[in-house]
Amino acid sequence: MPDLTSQIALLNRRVQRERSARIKSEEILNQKSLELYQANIELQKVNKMLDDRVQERTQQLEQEKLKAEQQAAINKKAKERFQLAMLGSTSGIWEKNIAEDSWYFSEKLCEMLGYEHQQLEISFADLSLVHPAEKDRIKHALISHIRHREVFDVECRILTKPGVYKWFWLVGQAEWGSDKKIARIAGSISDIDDRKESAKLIQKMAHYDHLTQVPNRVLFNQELDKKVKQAQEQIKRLAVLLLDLNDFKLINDTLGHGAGDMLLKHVASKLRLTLGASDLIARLGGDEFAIVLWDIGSDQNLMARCQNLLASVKEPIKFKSNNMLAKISIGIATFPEHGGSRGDLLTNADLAMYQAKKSKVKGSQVYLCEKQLIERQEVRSRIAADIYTAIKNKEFYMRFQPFVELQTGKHNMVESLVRWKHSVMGEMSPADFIPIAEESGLIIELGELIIEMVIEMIQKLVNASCMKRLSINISAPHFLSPSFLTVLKTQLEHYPLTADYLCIEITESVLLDNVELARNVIKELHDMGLKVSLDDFGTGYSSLNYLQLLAVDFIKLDRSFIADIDTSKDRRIITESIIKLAHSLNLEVVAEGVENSNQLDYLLDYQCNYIQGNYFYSPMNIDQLMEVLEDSKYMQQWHKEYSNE
Amino acid sequence: MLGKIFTEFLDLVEEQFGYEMVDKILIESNVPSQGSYTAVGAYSHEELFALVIKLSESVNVPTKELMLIFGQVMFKRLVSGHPEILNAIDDSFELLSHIDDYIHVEVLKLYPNAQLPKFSFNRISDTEVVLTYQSSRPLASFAQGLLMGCGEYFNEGFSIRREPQTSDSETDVVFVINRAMKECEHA
Repeated sequence: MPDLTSQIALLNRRVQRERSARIKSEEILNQKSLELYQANIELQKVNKMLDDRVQERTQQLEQEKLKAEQQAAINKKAKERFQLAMLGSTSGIWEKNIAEDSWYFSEKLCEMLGYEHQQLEISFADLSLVHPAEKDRIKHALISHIRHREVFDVECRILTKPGVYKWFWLVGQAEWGSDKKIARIAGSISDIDDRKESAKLIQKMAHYDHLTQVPNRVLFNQELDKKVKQAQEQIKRLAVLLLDLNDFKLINDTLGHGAGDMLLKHVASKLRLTLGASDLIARLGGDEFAIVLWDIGSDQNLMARCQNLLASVKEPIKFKSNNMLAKISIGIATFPEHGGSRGDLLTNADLAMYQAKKSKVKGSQVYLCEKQLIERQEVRSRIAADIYTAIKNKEFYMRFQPFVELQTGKHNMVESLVRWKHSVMGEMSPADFIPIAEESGLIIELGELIIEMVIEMIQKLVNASCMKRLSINISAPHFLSPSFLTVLKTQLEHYPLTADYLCIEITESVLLDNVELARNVIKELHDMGLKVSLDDFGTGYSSLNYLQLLAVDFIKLDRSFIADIDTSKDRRIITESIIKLAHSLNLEVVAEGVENSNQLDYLLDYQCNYIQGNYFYSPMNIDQLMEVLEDSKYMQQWHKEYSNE
Repeated sequence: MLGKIFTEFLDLVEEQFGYEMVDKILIESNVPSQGSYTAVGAYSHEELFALVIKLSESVNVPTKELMLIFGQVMFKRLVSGHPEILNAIDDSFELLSHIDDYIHVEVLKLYPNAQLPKFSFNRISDTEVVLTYQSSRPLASFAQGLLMGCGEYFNEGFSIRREPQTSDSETDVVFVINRAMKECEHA
């Protein structure tokens, strides 16, 4: 048995150990409490931070939620708008989702094409419904869109369910993903069949003549350009034919426009049937047609083909109870001989046609252009340009030829004659340059210049002498132009007393275009105090009816009558008859071109009123004219005195 | 080493041999802490070895055997102190398979400074596993005692042997554990 002391010592040690352990535990606990406290503080901080973070994040989320809600509202509206637009739209919508390998087709699209969704999936993928002629175009447009981001916009024909190809407008837009690969491609399809049909009709109307159904000038020009290019490349000859119906105006005027239209249709139809597949016919306007003959070979062959064309229209056609016969003038220019371009070929064919028309032979005529004709035309063009310059520079000048009043011997009537000294070609005859001025339209400006020059001089002549009338030659187009009377009146306003001393000389050609207008102008001239003379009488139609209609004051017998008067009995009879007739209509007669005393004697017998010609006076300048008029004044005085005795 | 190991060890010695034996080995071993152990403290494992050696000398039982017994008792006490560990565990092998990835993870949460051994688990069959023990401290016998305590707890009749190459080591030991199938599982 351990003794009590040992037991007490043992217990003391135990208590001591337990106490140390307790103290140690308390220390550890304190330490742990402190650590926990600090951990708690840290936790609170972390919690606070987390709370702040949560709050911040919550705010962000709320903002994002708000944004998302707003965006959703916008999207909803956009979707509604889109759906409404789709419902109202006449276009169908399609989409290919590449990522999901799926197709979408709107109901409208299915309805337009007439297929189920599943059928469309297959045919959209392999383009099997697209017209074979347009498949490559679609593929090309799609590749361009994908590679170069060009617009995918194609018009194509698609086979619809009823088995009919219709025109559609196919538009698409791809969407690229962040990996730069196409995510999807979507677009629309619109039915443009009606528009295409209208466009075709408009195209036809724009390019074809409504009456004859042959191409019009627009299409002809395009096609001729192509054919000229083709001929150059293939080294072929072609011919451009310009055709004009002779007397077409007469048919219209006498049988009415219905007859004219019928004849045009007949001619177009017959000519078209005669032409080959590579040839071309067009109506350029009015009664004018144009034909291109392709690969003509020799000139002989060409002329044979032209004769075939004429032969095709030689049978008369009946309009009501009348027979109509198409008489055609054809002017031909060939490539490459007469021009290498459309413009040259048409111009030269026109030149040739003008020659064909000039032919005195009745009926149809064919004229093949010649080099000389072109060269002559070129000269005329150059002269026309020179006339233009000469008008601007006032290079023209006037000459005067007095004529004698047979009854009184007075030299008080004068004709003014325009003259031009060309800087290179020298003095030019009016017979050469007046027709060129007429062709080029410069005759009006030239005429106005002449009026201006003559009226400036006339005042001087009136003051200085006893001149009765001074005549000015006015060409038909100028006489009938609206500016003629206006310019004349303006000039006369500067010299108000000169109108009574003026006479306007016109030719019968003014009557051919518009008799009524010509009558009105003559009446106006009479009202202003002027006289009117009909020049070159006897060379044209010489219609006696016109003499009454026009109410001119003088007729001038053409020099061709006078030249033969002493050798030809027939001429004498005609001349005498005309003079008598004129007198019976109260017209005075001037005989032109009197060269000798024999001619003068006959004219005296026939009681012709005035004699003009070199037998008395050649054309002279103003100073010489003044002298002649001065002499005439003395002669007049002498004649008066003599008569009184 | 956790103070809990020391307090449990001294409680076991007192239960088996009385406080006099506790007093004796403390005085004889003259450990730095003088035996004032508290379960929440931490002490050098050298002190435990010194105490076990003194006990071995006093009771004439080899230290390895003492450590085996201590491990066996320790398992029961740990389980009774932390029954939640076994909440989702159905048998011993499952518990052994989760030593590193669950039990030690939980231990480190409570005692961040604890130095824990590594147990590699390899299931050979339903009745055999190989468990590799690696530690910086020579406590393989204590670990073996714990394994025995586990087998008893689940009543699976563990047969534990050390791979011959590692039979003398106390730091790197491969345990081959066989168990008898429970009767209820065969039923």
